Amino acid sequence: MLDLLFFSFFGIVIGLFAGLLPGLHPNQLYFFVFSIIVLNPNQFIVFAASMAIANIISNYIPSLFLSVPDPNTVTSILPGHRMVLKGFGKKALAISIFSAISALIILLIALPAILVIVPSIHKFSESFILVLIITFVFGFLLTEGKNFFIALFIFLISGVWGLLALNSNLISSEKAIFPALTGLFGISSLLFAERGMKISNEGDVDIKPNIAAIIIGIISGIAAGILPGIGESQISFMILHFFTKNDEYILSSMASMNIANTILSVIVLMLTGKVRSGLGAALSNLYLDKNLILLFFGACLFSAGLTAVVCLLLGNIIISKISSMDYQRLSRYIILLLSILVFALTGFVGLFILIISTFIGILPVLFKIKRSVNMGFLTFPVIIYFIGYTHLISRLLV
Amino acid sequence: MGSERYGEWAFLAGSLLALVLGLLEGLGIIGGLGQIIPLMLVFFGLVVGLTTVTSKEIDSFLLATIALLAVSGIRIDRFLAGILANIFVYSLNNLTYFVAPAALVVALKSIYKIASSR
Repeated sequence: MLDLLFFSFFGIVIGLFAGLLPGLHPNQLYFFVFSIIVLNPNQFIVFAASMAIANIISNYIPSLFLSVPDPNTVTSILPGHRMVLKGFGKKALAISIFSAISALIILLIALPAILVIVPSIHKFSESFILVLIITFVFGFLLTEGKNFFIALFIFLISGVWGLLALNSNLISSEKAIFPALTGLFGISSLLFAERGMKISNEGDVDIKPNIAAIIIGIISGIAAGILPGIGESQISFMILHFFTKNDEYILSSMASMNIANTILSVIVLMLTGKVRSGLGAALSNLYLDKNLILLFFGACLFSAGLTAVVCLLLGNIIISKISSMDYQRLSRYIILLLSILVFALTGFVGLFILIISTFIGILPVLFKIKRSVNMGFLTFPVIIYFIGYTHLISRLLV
Repeated sequence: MGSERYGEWAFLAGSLLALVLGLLEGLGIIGGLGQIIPLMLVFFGLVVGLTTVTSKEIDSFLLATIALLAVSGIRIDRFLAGILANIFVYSLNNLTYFVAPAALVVALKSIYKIASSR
């Protein structure tokens, strides 16, 4: 028992570290850690679960306060950034964390039903996924009204850029995502910081749970976990524009979706043997029976609770520091930090991708349309994949 | 940020990227990249051309492009050798990859403008 506690703490620390540092992902760390430490199945699953959940929750801090996107949090950057600028940064963080923990509890309660539903949906999903994605994309673009063609144009620009950046031999797609999303959603937001703008410190936070938002997020996360070829970023782009009302609602749904997708990836692994995430890949050598799944859930809940407390404290510290600074100057420091990080993690090629992505990220602002149209970067390559032309694109780019 | 300022910055960024990449390729720091860098520069040039360059800038833009394309046709290896020649060739080539698509789009806009005014 003590050894499980130790590995849970160890996993939480590594997960926190990976979540707070932009560009670092547990997927990179799982195999590194497992190559130097030999663990038994119980220790393995407790460590992996703790690291995964701690990473998800602590990731909200750089995404909200530094506008640093991760593929799993990219859609929450825009509403999160809006809330931070209005002085509701603490509330945004509290909503995200509370929703994540609530989603975990609801998933545990709904586990028997999920174990029955998942195999059936998984069996039929491939046949309708392309129609679903294209329908949602066009539905989203139609919400732009008279700017439909401009939105489609920018969607295609970011989509083609996604094909180029994610399928080239310059850099692996996992490495390309960080500079690309940082440019498309992070730096392109920070460039519009106005002089004299300050982020106010809203003091004590009072949040009200939005169960509907959490349920929508859980369903979205289950869909992202089951449907092949698409992830949280595509699902959030598709679903959240139709079912969500305001920034708090979006943040709550996104946080629930992040947790649900992580949990589902393990359940899908258990039921079908298919690997849908880095966590799934790390656990793929284990025989996942009901006892291990329950231990997995227990570790998730423990990690979520402890990480939540740490992150809320950290959030308070960060808000009190940045509320005294001029936001434009702060934004410039963040842009410089992000550029250095991109260069350190991905080299000259990453900087090249960052710069072009930033200019593409500015286009929706220029043409006065929703910035989430740049999700074409991740969605369009998925459409091409399901049409079956990815191999042609890869050959063209060699 | 208005369209003109965006256009200025995007064009400057693209040109600098082309030159810096040319320098890095010429020095051998990045290499063996096949067609992907030119493709990305062409793509960025298309984006810049499609989204910027207002009517009043068309003529000067096209003139600058013609001058650039003329310079890139010079056989620089007759005057420089080794790394310097590589840097010059790669930089100019990259600049051409970026500017030419933008020029194509701008030229098409110019033709359309002429045709629609008649």
